[in-house]
Parts: sequence; structure tokens; C-alpha cells
Amino acid sequence: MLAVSEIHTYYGDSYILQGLSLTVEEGTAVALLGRNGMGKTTTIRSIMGFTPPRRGEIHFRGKDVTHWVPYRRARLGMALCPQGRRIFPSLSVEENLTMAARGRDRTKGELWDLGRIYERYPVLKDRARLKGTSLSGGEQQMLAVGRGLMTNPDLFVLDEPSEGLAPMLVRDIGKIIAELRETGLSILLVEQNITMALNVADRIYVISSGKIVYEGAPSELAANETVKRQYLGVAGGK
Amino acid sequence: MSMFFTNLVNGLAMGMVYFLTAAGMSIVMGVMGISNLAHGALYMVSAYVGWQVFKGFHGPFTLAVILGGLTGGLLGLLIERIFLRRLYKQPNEQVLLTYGFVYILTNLCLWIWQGWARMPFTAAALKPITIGGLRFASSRLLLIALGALFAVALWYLQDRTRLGARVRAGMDDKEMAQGMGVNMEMVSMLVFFIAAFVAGLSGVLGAQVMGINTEAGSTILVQALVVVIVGGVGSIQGALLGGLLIGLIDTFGKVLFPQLAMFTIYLAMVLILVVRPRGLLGRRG
Repeated sequence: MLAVSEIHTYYGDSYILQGLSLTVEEGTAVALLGRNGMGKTTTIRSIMGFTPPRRGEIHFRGKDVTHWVPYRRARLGMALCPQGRRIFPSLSVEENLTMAARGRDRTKGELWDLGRIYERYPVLKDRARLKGTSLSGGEQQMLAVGRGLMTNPDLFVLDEPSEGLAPMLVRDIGKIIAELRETGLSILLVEQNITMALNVADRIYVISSGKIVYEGAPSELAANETVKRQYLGVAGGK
Repeated sequence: MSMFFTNLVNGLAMGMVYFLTAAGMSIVMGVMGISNLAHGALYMVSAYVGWQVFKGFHGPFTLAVILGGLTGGLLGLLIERIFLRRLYKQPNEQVLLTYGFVYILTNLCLWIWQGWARMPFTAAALKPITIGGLRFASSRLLLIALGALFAVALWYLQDRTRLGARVRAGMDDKEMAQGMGVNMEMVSMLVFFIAAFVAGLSGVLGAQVMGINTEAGSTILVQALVVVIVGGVGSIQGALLGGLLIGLIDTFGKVLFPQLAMFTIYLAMVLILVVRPRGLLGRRG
């Protein structure tokens, strides 16, 4: 589905991603973990085309999209649920959902439309006419997820969806992502919340200083105290 | 009292011309961050084209308005596609380039239509309308009605359609809108065309109140800039409110304080900016 190979990405003069590679197989959920400032968001910006890499290649659905502008990548089937949610404040909840809605020929699963989103997340239906940013943090997160689903993507990229949410809401978001994975959607999840990532992902990558330093199954990482301590800031012991 | 109503109608009619000219300018600034100083020149060229169709070729007024609008729209699109799109996020260069077009278009008009001023050219064909014993120029009443119609149409386009939602989303967060799969360049192009088209319409309509001369482009540009600043960048409602307010202040100012006629609208602008630095209905941040 997505193959990122040896990308080098700069922010101005800062050399952020230093030869990063990762792959998301079709229908799987992949989590990218790492501490703040290690290049997680830059990885997403490279994949979405907001900050394209200077070297390396990004292949998506068999096409080399390395130099594509963001809207073409999105139309090929990428959706982003960005860090900080980035709900459009001048748009109502419903407009946020419909502004880029697309029905596409998907090989798997039912198409997402307004009716299905409202059925799944009824709170959005109740607030349809309100401005998107008037919702609570958890509701806005649901809206950001719904907005992405309305483009009927093949790959859903989620950047720290649990950020700033109360523990109960983090569990809800975790459940939503797990459900999406069940529908056959490919998922790239960037997280600081290790527990949630371990619960929903099929495969884990750990990033440090712009490079992948660990790759493995969730159960392997759960047992690997060294990696957890060194790269994820998790205290040892239980 | 009759003076009051006459001036009210005059002020509202002027206000509608200001609104129609400023609306596009305001949205283009909001969506594309482009300061198009040639916007007023498009108004002027279209006004001459309208005159040519109506007086020169004896065509119907509706055709004059439509062809005027299309002239503005297509000229605007050419300026955007060939020149402005290379100057994205370079405000100084945009100002220099578009002001250059003011000179080019002004001299082009001077060359084609010579320097003599045109009077409002539909006036002769229209009888004044009497309401409650007061006589009003029907062209002004028509202008107010048309302005109101366009206000509703533009508001609908901005707030009730998917294109409008994409335009607003682009103003909020252009990168995210693109990340959602919206081709913002296409949206911007369309917005620029519509803005220039409406400026063209407003040129032909405005000529029915103010006539046309080769200064018209620069004059209306300054008024439109005041309206955009007063109303706030990036909103149709702001342009409408600002346009009507400036039209009324200008008209009543000239009647009540003739010695201040040159700067009542600037005085109003300064006062409004002191109270609301983003303009009356300006967008956040």
C-alpha cells in the first residue's frame, strides 16, 4: 500500500529525516512511535507531500508519488487526521465532513457517506450545524476522523489522535481505530501513547533522530525493555 | 425630508457599486493573499466595453452588462494565469505588477475610447419613478435592486455551496484543504475569475451613476480598498456592510459637510479601524 524508502527530509536547513524507510501493507495497521522532536510529524508531512523529501522515494498504491502535490496524493486514496485536528473553523460540522467528500471505487468495504458517519458518530449529527471548532476536544477528534473517512481513503494516516484527550476518550479513539482496521482500511498511526498503539497495531516502528531504530510486532516491543527505555522514555520494571 | 430620501437612494446606489467592486477584491485577498490593484482597472475597461456595446453597437443593456462582466473576468484570469501566479506570497511584487496593469489598461482605454468622459448611458431611456410624491432616478433604484440580488447570490455561493466551503476552508488552512484532496489552485483560479467578472459587471452598472472616464479605475480602486478595510478581508457580508456604509457616508458627507467632502470616508475608515482593527466583519487571524 505504502512504501517509504530511504527518505531524507529537511525543514529549511535542519536535516530531520535521515534515510527513513517504512512500509504499510494493505489492510494492516502500522504504528510509528518515538519521543517528541524525533521526526514523527515530519514523516507524515513527507508522506502527505506537505514537506516533500529531498532524496528517497515514496510509493503509494504502486505509484511513485514522491514529487506529487498533496491534493493528488489525497485523491489517490490518502487521508490525514492531523495533529491538533486542524478542523476548519469557518465551516460547520457538516461542511467539514462534506467539503472534500469523495466516493471512490474501493475494492473493500462499504462506502463512507454522511449517513454512515452520522450513524457511527451520532454526536456529529446532533451538532451538524455548529461551527466545527465549537465542539469539545473528543468530538473534534471524531470529526477529524469522520472528515478523513468521507474521502473514502485506502490509507488513513493519523497523527497523535490521542493527544490532549482524557484517558476515557483515548480508549474510545483506540476503539474507533481498531474498528476501522477491521473494515480493511490500511492505517498509519503516529502516537506517543504506547499502550494504545500496541493495542491496535499489527506492526510497530520506533523512530529516533530521523531514523527507524526498531521494527517489530507489538508483542516483541512490549517485551523489549531496552528499546522502550532508550527510545520511548518508558521506565523499566513492570 | 425629500433631500434625505434622494440622498439615501444615491448613497445606497453608490454603496452597491462599491460593494460589487470590493467583494471580489476582499475574497481574492482572503483566499489567495493577493492584492490585485488592477481590480479597479478591470472595472473601468468593462465599463467602456459596456458603453461600446450599448451606445456604439446599439445592443441591449443586458448584453452590455454580461459582455462587460466577461471582459473583466477574462482579463483578470489572464493576469492571474500568466503573471500573478508566479508571485504567490510576494506582496511587494504583486503590488508593483498589478499597478503596472493599471497604467497599461488605462492607456489602452485612452487609445481605444479617447479621453472624453462618458455620461451614464441608460439614463435617457429610463423614466424617473415616483414613490410617495418623490421622484427617484430609476437607474439608481435598479442598481440597488441588482446589488441586493448579487449580494444574496454571492452570499449563497460563499456560505451554502461546496465551492464556498472549500474557499473558506482554504482561507482557514490552505495546507490542510490541499491535504484533503482539494485542488486549491483550481479553486483560486475560479475565485479570481468570479471576482473579476463581478468587478466587470459593477463597471457597467456603476457607469450608470458615475459615468466613465480614464480616471475611473484608480478612483474606484481607492474606494474599494477603503471598503475592504472597513468591512474586513475575506467576507461577502463585510464587503456589503462596508460598501453601503461608505456609500452613505460619502453621499451624506458631501451634502452635510461639503468642505470635508474629500475625506469623510477616510475619517470613517480611521474611526472604524480604531474600534475594530480587523474591520467590521473581518475574519479571525
